Amino acid sequence: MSLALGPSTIYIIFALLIFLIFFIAAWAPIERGRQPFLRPMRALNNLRRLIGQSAESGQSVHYSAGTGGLNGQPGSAEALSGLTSLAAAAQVAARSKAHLTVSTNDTLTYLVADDVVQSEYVETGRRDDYQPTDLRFITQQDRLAYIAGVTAILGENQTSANVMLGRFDAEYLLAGDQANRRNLPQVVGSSRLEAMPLMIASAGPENTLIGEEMYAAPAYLDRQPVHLASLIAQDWARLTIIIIIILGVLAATFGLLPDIGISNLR
Amino acid sequence: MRRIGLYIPLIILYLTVFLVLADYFTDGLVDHFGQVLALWVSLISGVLLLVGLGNVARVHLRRIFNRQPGALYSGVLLVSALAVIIAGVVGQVRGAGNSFTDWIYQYIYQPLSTTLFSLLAFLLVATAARALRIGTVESTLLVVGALIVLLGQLAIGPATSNLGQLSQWFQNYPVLGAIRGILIGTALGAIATSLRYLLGVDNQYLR
Repeated sequence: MSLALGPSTIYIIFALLIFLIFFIAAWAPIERGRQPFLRPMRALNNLRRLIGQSAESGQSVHYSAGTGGLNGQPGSAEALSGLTSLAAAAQVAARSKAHLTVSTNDTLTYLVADDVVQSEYVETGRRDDYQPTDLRFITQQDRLAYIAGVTAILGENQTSANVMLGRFDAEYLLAGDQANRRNLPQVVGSSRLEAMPLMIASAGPENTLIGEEMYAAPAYLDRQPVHLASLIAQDWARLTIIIIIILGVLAATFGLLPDIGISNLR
Repeated sequence: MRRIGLYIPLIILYLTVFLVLADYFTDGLVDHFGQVLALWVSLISGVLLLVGLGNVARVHLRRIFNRQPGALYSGVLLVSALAVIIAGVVGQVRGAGNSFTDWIYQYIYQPLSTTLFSLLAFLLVATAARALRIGTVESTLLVVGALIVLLGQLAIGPATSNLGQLSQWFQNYPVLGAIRGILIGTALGAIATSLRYLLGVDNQYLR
């Protein structure tokens, strides 16, 4: 038996263990009742407001967990994060008697999304209000055709807002443009650099979640200890990386790390 | 008894996680286990496609029967789906393989898809104009930055050479720094999400 990735295997396992320690260290105090401070995030406050408004108007909010799949396709982590946020959004919707229309680009995502939404309606005691047709399977891993389907949903009169949290690329703009044409408020987020500027330009910076903010959404929406601990562990890991980068810059500046290429720059 | 039932998915999860990680990080311990699992998921996914198709039929038939707006498009969608399925089955039965479905893909789907994607160029301009109209600092900076980079890429003449240098400076320093920051944050988010699922603590399936 040998290590598949060579010495890198040890580094990866070490990094994962460090992250795991951060996670457990952050989780224990939260379970004991300590509430961490979360900086206000307007986009997620807006998401709650949109669902509340749709309950008042009797219309529905469109939700998409992205174009990523759960079967090893790119965007699995984003899809999982989008589905966790969907659970929190469905809980808010079920409690406020609002409707969500959920669209998916993958059969597995469709099945999980269906289960997540149904579970929230059952837990809230509104099993009868759950409509299987509110969950829509649009395409199987075809980003452009999927966005065309989303554009059609956004064009429906009953849709009052657009929420898209997951993996999206430049094709998001087709949906964003349709939402703008109908003056639909949006809350959007993607981990892809191709989509971020388009989302900011289309939905506005206050309604856009950039990069890791999208992964923070579940913690903000449901405030479960496990999600809060995960968020704090991310912050600690980021702080560790920042410290390592600063130390690396100082070491390279003072010639303690000559082999990273700094001597060539001189 | 129900409590024991709740732990069964967790046991399966931990066992699978252990074997997949062992397969990923080592050679010669449990080789190809991840590939076999991925194949299983692909098979399940294939069957689930029928469930997805059922959902498509249900949503659009309901729209047609209730004569809701867009019922015509729903009809076109269902007829198209049926035509592709029939073309695939007929092709296989007559020994023509995927030639019918390939033809549909190449001469109908692909041009439509390309046309749709090309619309993005026009939408981009409209969105930029809208961002300027909104007038927030972030949107304005975004559009101004995009304009500098765009003009810097154009070979109009000596007048744009300074813009070219400015554009390059933009991309090499502020943009690259911001991109790396975003990518580190995104990677940490992906690790955190994956870890929650691997540990079984984001366990919606246990409810």
